[in-house]
This record gives sequence, C-alpha cells and structure tokens, in this order.
Amino acid sequence: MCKTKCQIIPPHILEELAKRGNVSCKKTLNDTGRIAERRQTALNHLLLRNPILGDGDRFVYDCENKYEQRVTLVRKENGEVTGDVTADKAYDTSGFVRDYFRETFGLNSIDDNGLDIISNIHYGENYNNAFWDGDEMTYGDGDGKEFTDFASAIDVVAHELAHGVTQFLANLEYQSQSGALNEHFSDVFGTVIKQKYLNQDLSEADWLIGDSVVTDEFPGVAIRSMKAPGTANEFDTQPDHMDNYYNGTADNQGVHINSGIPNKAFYLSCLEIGIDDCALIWFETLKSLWRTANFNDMVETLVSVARDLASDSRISDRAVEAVSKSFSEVGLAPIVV
Amino acid sequence: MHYKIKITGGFVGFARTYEGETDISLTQLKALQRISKSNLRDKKVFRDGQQYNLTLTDNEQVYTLEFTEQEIPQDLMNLISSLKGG
Ligand SMILES: [Zn+2]
Repeated sequence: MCKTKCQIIPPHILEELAKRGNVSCKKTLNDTGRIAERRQTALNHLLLRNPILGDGDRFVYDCENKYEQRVTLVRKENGEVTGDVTADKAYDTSGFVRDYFRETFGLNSIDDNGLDIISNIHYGENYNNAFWDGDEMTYGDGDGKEFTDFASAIDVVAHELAHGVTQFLANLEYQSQSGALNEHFSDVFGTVIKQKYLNQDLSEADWLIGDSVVTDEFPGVAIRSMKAPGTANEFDTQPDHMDNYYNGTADNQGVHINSGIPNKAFYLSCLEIGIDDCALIWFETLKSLWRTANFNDMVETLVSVARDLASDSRISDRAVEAVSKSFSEVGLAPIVV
Repeated sequence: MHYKIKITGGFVGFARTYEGETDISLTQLKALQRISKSNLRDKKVFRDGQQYNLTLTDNEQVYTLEFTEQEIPQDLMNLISSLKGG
C-alpha cells in the first residue's frame, strides 16, 4: 500500500518511518539501496541474475592461490568428494549453515530466493582473511604462522554467509554502529551455528569466534570472544560495555571492535533464556531493522520482537526481561515507554 | 628500499604490520600498480574486506600507497605476499 508513496519519499524520512515500525517503508528503503548496488554490479559484469527461485545450490571454486575468484569449479551440489580437505569442508559447512537457516527460520538460502551459495577457497597466497563481497564468499588458507584455513571453520563460514543474509534482510550500512551490528549478527549466527554443528550445549560452548583458524604460535586463543570481548588475543581491543566504546575511524569506525558490546549482551541473554530463543529473537529483529539502525534502535527492536514472540508463546515469557537486563549490563538500557 | 605494510580490518579485525628491505624500485612499483587491476573492483557490497597501507622509503623519499580489498591490484597483492612472507 505504501509502495508508490515510499518511492518518492526522501531516504531520511523513510528511515524515520521505518524506525516507527512502518514495514513497507523499511522494505522500500532497503530495496532502494540494494537495487542500486545490484544494478551497478549487473551492468559492470553484464550479468543479470536469474529471477527464478533457486535451490541454494553450493558451488566451490578453487582460486589456485591466485588473487582471483572462480578459477576452477571443484565441487557443486551433489557432486563427488574432491579429496581436497578445504574444498570438502567448505562444501559441508556451507550446507550446514544453509540448512540451519532453512530448517530453523524457513529461509530459502541467503536471499530467501534460493541464491546459489558460492565459496572461493585457496584465495591468494598465505592470505589471512575471509570475506563476503555481495555475491559470494572467499577464503584464504592463512599464512600457516598465525592463521590457517579459514574455509574449514564452521564459525567463519557461518559468519560470512550471515553477512549475505543481513544484506538481504536489513542491509545494515557497513560503518559505525550499524556496521558493528552487521558484524554482531554475523558473530551471533557464527556462534549459534558452531554450537549446533558441534552438538554443544551452553555449558560446553566456548563462545569463541575463529578459534580453529589461529595456530599454536598465535598470541591468543581465537579472534574474538563473545563471552569476554577484549580477551581473545593480545591485539583484541573489543569493548564489552558502552563506557569503552571505540570512537576512532579505523575499521570503518570500529565495526569489528564495537560489535563486542552487543556480542556480550547476546551471550548474557543466552545464559538467561537459551540459545534457541535468542536465535529466533535476533533473526526476527534482523528482519525488522533498517539500513542505518544504531545500538539503541537494536535494543528497542529486540525488546519489541521478544514481547511479540513471547505473547505468541514461541519463546520464554522471561525473554523481555532477560534481553533488557543483558543490554543494561553493557550500558544499553532499553528506554521504558 | 625499506618497506612497511600495514593491513587493517578484515574478518581478523586487528592491525598487522610487516617491515623489511626490498630491492624493488619505485618505477617497478608504479608499473605494477598501472598494469594490473583487481577483479573485485566492481563489487559494491563488501564485508570483512581489508585495508592495505604500503609505505616505501628510499633515500629520504617516502612513497605511500593505500588500497581497499576491492581496489588493490592483483600484482600488488602478490608483491605484499612475497614481502611479508606469509
Ligand atoms: Zn564480518
């Protein structure tokens, strides 16, 4: 109903309406940015995505240690095991992540339209990183000194794939607080899916991100810790409270730094009501957020979503209190209306 | 020539710095920059991309290059890989 109107309303007004719960305006706002990005990509590549629903099929490409994507296709959906441990792990873990989102939330692949799941492995030489580029995932082998095989780590794969999910659901802008939320959602689904993959319960989980991609020589146990942000390694500067919020310009204004604050709140919420209730609250919240949402918007939306889910008896009736208390503990007390 | 490579951001998040000596000349470096380009250049959405800052110092002359993951030419990535030795 809002469709025609929304398209001529300036973005800042759409954002305000989205904040006030106008779902159509939020959708238009997110779609506008997404369409512009995708149109540009499509024009540049002379490639138009097939609009027909896909099945979320997996494709694993070996970059053969070049800084190029899609060099050689080594495995596709239902294809034979390759014998390359990294390729087969990337295939298995991306399937596990896809199936988690489908079976838990009914999401049809990354974009809910069955988008192909493309993984590039063995990217570059000694490349210490993994990234999502708007269409596909890319993983380095690590330098073997401090980092190793990013594609084999379930939490890394879930983190990168979740960036895709976030892009299609909320398109959170990748800077400052909205960017830290973007990182936060990737760490949330990274850790939730890791616990499912390893069949762990709350008492067994380590709440570490990237523990299996660091070597014994690395000065730390992982890249980040959701339980204790700032303690995963010697370089870890993640705050666990708004008092220590990073205000600098590095890392797109601290997207991988300030994510420690909501990460800690997620951990605390899980202790109160369990990981499955929290995963549902966070997923539904992601669907309701908008491109420029900040930490306060996140808390307000979480509380509102938790209230709705609890009243439908889909989650614990203690959820609103648990989420509010957890965020208060990191310096983000919900505004009581 | 002295080189210093600083890599920030990315999935890892924290900064890493690599320093040393190289026999590459500024002319060779500029040539690498010109002739190769990244096949990620056209990607508009990018999450966990790294930022590359390369400083070369030769007889008081300081030459600085800055690139995002999308923009950095492939040959420069190869050069960085070889300089930092992993
Ligand atoms: Zn990320």
